[in-house]
Amino acid sequence: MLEYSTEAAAYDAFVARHSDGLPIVLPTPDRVAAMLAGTREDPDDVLGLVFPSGNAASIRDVAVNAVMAGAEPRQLRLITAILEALLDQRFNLNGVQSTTHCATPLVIVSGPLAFESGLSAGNGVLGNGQRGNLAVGRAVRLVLTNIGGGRPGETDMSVQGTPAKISFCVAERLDAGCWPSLAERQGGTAAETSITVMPADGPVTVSDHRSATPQRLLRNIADTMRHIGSLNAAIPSAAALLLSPQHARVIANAGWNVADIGRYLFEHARNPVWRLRDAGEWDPVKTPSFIARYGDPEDPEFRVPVLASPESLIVAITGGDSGGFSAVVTNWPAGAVLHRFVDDDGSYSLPRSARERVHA
Amino acid sequence: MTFVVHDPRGTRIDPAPSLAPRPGSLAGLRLGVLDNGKEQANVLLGRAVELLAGDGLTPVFARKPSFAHVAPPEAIEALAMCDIVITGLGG
Repeated sequence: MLEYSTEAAAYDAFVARHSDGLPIVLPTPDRVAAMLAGTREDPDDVLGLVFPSGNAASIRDVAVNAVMAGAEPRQLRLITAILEALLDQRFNLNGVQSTTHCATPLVIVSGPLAFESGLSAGNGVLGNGQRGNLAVGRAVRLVLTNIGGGRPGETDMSVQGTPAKISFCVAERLDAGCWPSLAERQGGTAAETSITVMPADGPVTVSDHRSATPQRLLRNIADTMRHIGSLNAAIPSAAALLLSPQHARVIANAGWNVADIGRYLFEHARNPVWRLRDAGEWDPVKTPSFIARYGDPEDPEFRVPVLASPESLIVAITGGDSGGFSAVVTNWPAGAVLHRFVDDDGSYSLPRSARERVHA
Repeated sequence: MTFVVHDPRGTRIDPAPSLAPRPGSLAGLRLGVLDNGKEQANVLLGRAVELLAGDGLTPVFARKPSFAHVAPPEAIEALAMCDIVITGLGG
């Protein structure tokens, strides 16, 4: 516990040192107790170590930051599930938090728990006015900052950051009627909810109200995905495609499924070797070694894929019905894209080594 | 009467890291060099080693395979045998 002479003194100290720069809700004992009603977990149980600080995050610690972010108790279970995915060492949170790149976790929630938790997938899903998305994403960010120590200019060496570092959490539309949901494609049932996390750049908008075929629309999306400034261009890895319902219907109405999208973009979101040499992050040693998995890096006309494989594309339908806009989210390739399902009982599993270290 | 709130920083497991005392002289010390794998880090560190070589130091080099990941255990073990370690960002 921290003690201050007055509430105003506490507020000033928290906004100065424990915030993302925006006003926060003070985590008083009453508010934290109310937040903890959102989970059946033992508040003292430890979720894991958050790097680069390596501080331990208990369920209570997460609840404290959730209060500060303006989240609701019904969102705590989702927040802890997202953090469990981020604390998986394959995600390389230590790298995501400390890189000079603008990397930040993109969180996609697919399944009914998203909406039971107050998340949204309609108009403006990636922007303002989405209280649930913003609060859940912000709670995650505050955990990464306060428990993980990822403060700009201290251990977070991101040169410019991105607005997505404040909050980057979306729900998937389950009513678009195009394909099975992301969670179902990951092996879940329609009743289950999955969390997908990817180390990400900020989103890039794709506008297209002209394309009536999947090929024409996906050529537009491919062009956005292969932009030279993204690390994807030099390092084939993962990307997320957040399709608006209108764009999804252009593709689905032609009989294409999500695997078809991945195959098409794997083949068409490419840059020739000469172009990669001409601009961007061409590393004379590393880049040819990445390219050699796909073709001859000495052939200037060889077209290098942005995606490591057709399956490396994450596709989710989200956004309103009012137009043809989608978003491409490229990747920080030094961390893995992961997904996990939110367990029915709200429990979680951790590598034993992490728990034993914490409780030693 | 005070106003009490929860600390949002979790629980520190390891003691807070601090810099080792600065050596008064480099004579006879073992020098470690951690190249983080970033572009041109070897250029910067190579020049630093050249300058330090005048003090008779023989460096132990360790390199991270990727600047985006933590140093592998064998690199840490090699550097742990040194008295002083220099590194740099590169880029």
